[in-house]
Amino acid sequence: MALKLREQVAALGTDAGAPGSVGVATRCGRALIDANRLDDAAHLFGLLGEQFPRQPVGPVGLAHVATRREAWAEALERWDECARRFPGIVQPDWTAARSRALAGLGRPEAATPVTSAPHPVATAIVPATPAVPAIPRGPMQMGTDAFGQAALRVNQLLRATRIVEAREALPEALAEARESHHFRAVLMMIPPLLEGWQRTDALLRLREGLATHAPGFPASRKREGEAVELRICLALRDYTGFMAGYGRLAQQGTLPAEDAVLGTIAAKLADRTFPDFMAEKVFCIGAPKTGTTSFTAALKMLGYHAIHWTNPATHELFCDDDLFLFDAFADLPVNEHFEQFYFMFPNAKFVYTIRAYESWEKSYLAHMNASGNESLPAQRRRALRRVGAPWGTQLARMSLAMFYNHPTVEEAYASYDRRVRGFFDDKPAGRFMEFNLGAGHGWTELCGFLNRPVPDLPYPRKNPQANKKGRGDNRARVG
Amino acid sequence: MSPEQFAGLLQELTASFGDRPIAGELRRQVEALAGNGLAPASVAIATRCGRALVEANRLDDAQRLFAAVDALFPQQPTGPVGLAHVATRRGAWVEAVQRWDACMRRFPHLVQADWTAAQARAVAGVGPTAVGEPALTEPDPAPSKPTITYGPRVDAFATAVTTFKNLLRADRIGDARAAYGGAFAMATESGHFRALHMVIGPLFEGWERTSALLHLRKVLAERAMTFSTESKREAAAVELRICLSLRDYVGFAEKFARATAERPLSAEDAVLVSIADKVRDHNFPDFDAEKVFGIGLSKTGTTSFIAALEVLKFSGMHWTNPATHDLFSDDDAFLFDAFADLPTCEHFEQFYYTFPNARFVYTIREFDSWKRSYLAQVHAASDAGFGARRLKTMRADSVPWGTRNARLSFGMYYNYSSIDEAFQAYDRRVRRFFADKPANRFLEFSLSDGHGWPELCGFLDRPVPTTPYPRRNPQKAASAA
Repeated sequence: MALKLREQVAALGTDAGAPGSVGVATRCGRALIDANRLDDAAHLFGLLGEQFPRQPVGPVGLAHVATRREAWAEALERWDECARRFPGIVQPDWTAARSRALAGLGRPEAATPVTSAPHPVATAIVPATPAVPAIPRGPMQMGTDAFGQAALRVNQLLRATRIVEAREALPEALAEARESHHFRAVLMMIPPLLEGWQRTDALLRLREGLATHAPGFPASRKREGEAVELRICLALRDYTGFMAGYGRLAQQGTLPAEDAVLGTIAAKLADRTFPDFMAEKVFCIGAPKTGTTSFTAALKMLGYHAIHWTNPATHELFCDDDLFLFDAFADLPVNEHFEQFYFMFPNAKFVYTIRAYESWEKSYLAHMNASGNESLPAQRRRALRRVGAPWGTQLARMSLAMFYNHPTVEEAYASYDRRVRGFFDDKPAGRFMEFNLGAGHGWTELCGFLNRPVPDLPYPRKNPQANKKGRGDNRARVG
Repeated sequence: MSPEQFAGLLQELTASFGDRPIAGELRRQVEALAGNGLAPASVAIATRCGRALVEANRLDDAQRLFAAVDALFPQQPTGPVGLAHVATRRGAWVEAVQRWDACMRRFPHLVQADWTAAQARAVAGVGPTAVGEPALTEPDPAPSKPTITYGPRVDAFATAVTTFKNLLRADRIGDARAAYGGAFAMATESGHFRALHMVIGPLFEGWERTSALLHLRKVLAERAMTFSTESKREAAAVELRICLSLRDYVGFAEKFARATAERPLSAEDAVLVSIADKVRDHNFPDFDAEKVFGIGLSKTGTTSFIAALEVLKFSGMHWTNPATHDLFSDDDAFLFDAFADLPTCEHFEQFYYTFPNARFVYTIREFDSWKRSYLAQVHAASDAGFGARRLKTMRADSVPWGTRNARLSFGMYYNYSSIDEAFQAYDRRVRRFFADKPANRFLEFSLSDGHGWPELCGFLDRPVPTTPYPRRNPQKAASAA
């Protein structure tokens, strides 16, 4: 460690003002704390704070030092200062340390509004970059204008699973939205944060804001604005409004690839068989982390309109309303009541993606990394704590049923396995297939089951190393 | 007219039928009545007789008979309805409209779809020049007087509500939706808004439902300013119900506190109190609660079952949420303690895993008796009716609660070739699922096998009540058989 730091310090030369020096100093300071040389660490972080007042490193370092010293009152003050000065980049470890300080002061109850650690499911599914990709596409960089700042804050709070605060920050983002991609970004923030009427209300406000600003959109952005409006229609289940708007939009030419999903949905809604109970739906009913992402990709290659986890038009978790809008479905929300789908769609087929238990468990625990060592009952207690969890009651419901209501991960997996096998035991073979990539299954088995020609391309393998990457995983890696 | 005269009239009229097929049967029935002209059965006989006369176009005789029935049995709709039919048949449109109005005014709870259809025909018959209040009011005895005294001919709102309720009952959902607007325009009192809120669930879904609720809320808030104190109280309750329909639990809890600050809600709105208890609990939504799911099919004693659970102090709901009139959905699982009927059956497996402390009661009934009862319920005389019903459900505008209901009906019934198969498949599904589950979470419950309080209370760990186990709609099954 020392050598490496010395090298880095040497590389900085006399240019101590270079941005790189902050990183080096941070590492140095952390090393001092680890070595319990707290006075030296405090000195260094103090200097950092003076030299780089716009960086959080200094105050955060000082707060860590105070925490380490168990000077709880000072620690609390410093953490509060950090949160006040850098609201957009609050990290879970800041809030955890702040809670520790509160507990040290004998005020643990005051810490309850702040999650001590990320919600385990939340870390799994909170989009690391839900709205982020959408924002930089605009003319200005994220964080540089009022909307960017507000959006960044919401997303960071969301990522830190501080849902209550993220919810409170959302109206500001909406108020600052001016351009078409701003509205698109807010639309993506709504589903993980709000449910029930609060969701409906936010969508109505979004629609209102969009209507106000749409006349001012540059010509090149008009279509994007209209596409956002259509997505809002779908989120509000306003299929009539959607079809009317889609008709107008489609007249202006092909939609960009990003909005192609709207065409898919319009085709379903326009079909005279809608809602079509006779359709040959495909449900992937394997547990998360059994290759559901790859499976979805494979079905797309076979020409199915397949969705995974969320509805790509509304960004909501899959729910029963989506059944008639797409052809194939995968991941946790589908597991919840596959039996119902079996009886509801007599021509639907069910693919049970599986994986050797040890390998699955490793992947699952890595995926739930934040709490990998926590027992399921402990995770359950945390999930039930009313601090606000992303995707609200819907995700709580399904993660309890699938995982947290069981005593161990092993029992959760076994219980679901029994449920699936017990159910399909007496059902026709033409409607159920086990699919195990690890056992060499691939196109041959899948296409044989679905009666489709085998494609020329190899079977897709999405996130094969997801289990090795651990903490950095994001929602796109679910399954 | 005396009872004897009435009996004489019936005899005379049935005698005049000659050899028509109906004659012999009617004559026997009239003779059986002999000397007891005012027995309730005589109304039914007179009705059949009157209808036969209308069909035979013996309108004067029919009129005589129906007038007699009306004089002797003023509590029964037979007389006025018969007279209205006669007027309709004669094409006496103004009279027909008046008579149908009178029927609806006198028997608002009994209005049938054919009444409104006949009234609509009559209104059309009156024609454009005469449509409107003046032509339809009683003839003015002094035509020289200025005609400024016309009030609403009946409670306009009641008529409008009746119309769309009948359309709803006839599964003419598209027409009912159109009629909803008409009723809405006439809503003036708090009770009207309550009635409107009740039909939004079955009539609309998706955004149409949301916007209907928002509009109702807005107009109610405007009108409520002029309401009396009592009406304001009812308006507040309707507003609370709208909050629940919109799933605005935060707003509901706040408004509930305000609405009940001074005095409690009326008994009619007691369900709101039990929901408020749930919503305001710090455990809401409570996944650890001891829910009870009745997962037997419709017509297996589900209504009695919920009544029984209410006796045991569970807050129960059957088929729909009584506060919102929406079909049971996953959201309701947190607002009540006990649930029963088809929407609960749809994915009981999910509830089993979601609520680790929930218990499941499978209400059952011997198949033949169940089938008769089921077919009577869906007005299908036979298995052929089952197929027809299936086709109908596929048309989006033909079932209340729209897609949600269609989803349910297909999954539970119509995806099978016969009702027998549907019943067996569900039975297998339940038994197979619970075969390896703990005994304390599953109970089979069959009233016809003599099950009752001891079995239910033993299973739920509750003391046996002193009142008998409730029996709801027992004779429905009997009459169908």
